[in-house]
Amino acid sequence: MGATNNRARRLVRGVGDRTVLVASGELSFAEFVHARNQRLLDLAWLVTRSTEDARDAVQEALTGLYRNWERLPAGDEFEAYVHRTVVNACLRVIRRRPRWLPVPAPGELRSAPSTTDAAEAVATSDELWRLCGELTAVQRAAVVLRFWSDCTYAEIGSALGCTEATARSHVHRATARLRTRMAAGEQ
Amino acid sequence: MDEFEQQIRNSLRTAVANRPPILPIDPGSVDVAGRATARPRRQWARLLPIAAAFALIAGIGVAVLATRPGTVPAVPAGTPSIQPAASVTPSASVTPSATTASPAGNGIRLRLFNESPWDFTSAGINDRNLGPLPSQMITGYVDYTDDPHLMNVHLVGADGTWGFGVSVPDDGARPSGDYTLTIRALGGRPSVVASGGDRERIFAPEPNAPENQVHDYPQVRLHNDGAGTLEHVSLRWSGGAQLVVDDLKPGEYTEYAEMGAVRLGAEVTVVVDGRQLSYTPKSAGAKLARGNATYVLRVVDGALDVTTEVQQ
Repeated sequence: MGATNNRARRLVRGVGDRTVLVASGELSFAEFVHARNQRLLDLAWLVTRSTEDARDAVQEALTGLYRNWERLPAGDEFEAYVHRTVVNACLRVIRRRPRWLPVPAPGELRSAPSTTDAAEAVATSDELWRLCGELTAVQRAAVVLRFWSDCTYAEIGSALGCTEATARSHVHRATARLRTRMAAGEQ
Repeated sequence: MDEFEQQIRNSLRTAVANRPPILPIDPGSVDVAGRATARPRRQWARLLPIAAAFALIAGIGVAVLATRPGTVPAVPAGTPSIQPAASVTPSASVTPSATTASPAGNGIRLRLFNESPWDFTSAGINDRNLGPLPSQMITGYVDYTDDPHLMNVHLVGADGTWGFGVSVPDDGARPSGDYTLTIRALGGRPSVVASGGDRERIFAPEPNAPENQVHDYPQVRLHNDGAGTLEHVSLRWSGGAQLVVDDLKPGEYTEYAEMGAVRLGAEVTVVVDGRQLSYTPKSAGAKLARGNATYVLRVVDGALDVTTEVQQ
């Protein structure tokens, strides 16, 4: 657990959207895990859509990162490496899944909106999230990296192990499919 | 980004904000997994080319010998006799750390069940170490026939070491049977309760603070970064810990306070000009293991905004 590297200041600012960690010196693997736990779990959950799979994927990804911790690239390349490791772990976990349709636990079901004001936006959001589940795992990972992680197409390509053009194609096809399905649902 | 893509972004953010809680990954478990899976594979991989080279040389040697007439004597056919190189006997010195055998006499059997969200790197009773005890895991039963009437349960986690005294009568009426000591989260720290047969005769009081008890908790303070006074400031953490301050003037910092094992996200309520404002974190956040944490409170456009600065 003593492995450290010198990318502390840049990394710790990326913790969630509301947290600023002020650190000095080198960043140990344990500090990295403490700081990025929730963010990585969020990313994995969006791609896998399962709490258990998300945890498995992040655990697997972190194990991979730990092995190479002292040899990892610094700066932006490090971020891309982390994204790639987590997304690949998610895709592996999805491939290992038994072929069944998961039924959400009652606690995960959200109640339907009761008013029509904000309700429409909520319903659209819910429906889009539901339709994201119909995308292929790679398309969903591309959408999450593009619209949630704000990655560039080059970064998405790096994370998915494909060219920038292919990443652009994944996002485009996924967006088009969501658009079509949403339009079909409104009619 | 067009309107539809913005809707996708909002949808993903809403989904994350409402996602079910996921237990954070413990760096210690990654450390162990990494050591267990990575190192041997790399050593094995390093040996592969050497093994391949040996196999190649041996193969060539065998091929050369096989193709040279008269140099290899014929071996008479017969029944091969295979003898074991050494007989294998079980070692008498190996004793399992946890046993499922029935207790003898008035002995009791104890096991630990970790119902808390914390992973403990070590758990034990008296001088018996039961190994690591991750969240939601249970140990095997351990016999305690000759132990004293006050036994110590000790837990080692990322936040320090805890000890609990477990009292068992030693007046000859000592109950026998199976007991489960359940570790629960109570007030932001572990607590132990007993269940099982005659549980009134065995109980686990509050931590008895053994000599080696070490706490490495974060120090928490508040800062009013706004222009107005905040009154009745209250921070509540998911584990039950609470920090209350009567009022906090503009620019004021409170003293640091030790809050036990808490997570980053805290629910905050304040009163400003007679109106109560509240802030609910999107998730419980990472566990604050050590260091100084400052919760910065400010009121922006009539809404309470909270950010956290952690100095490690």
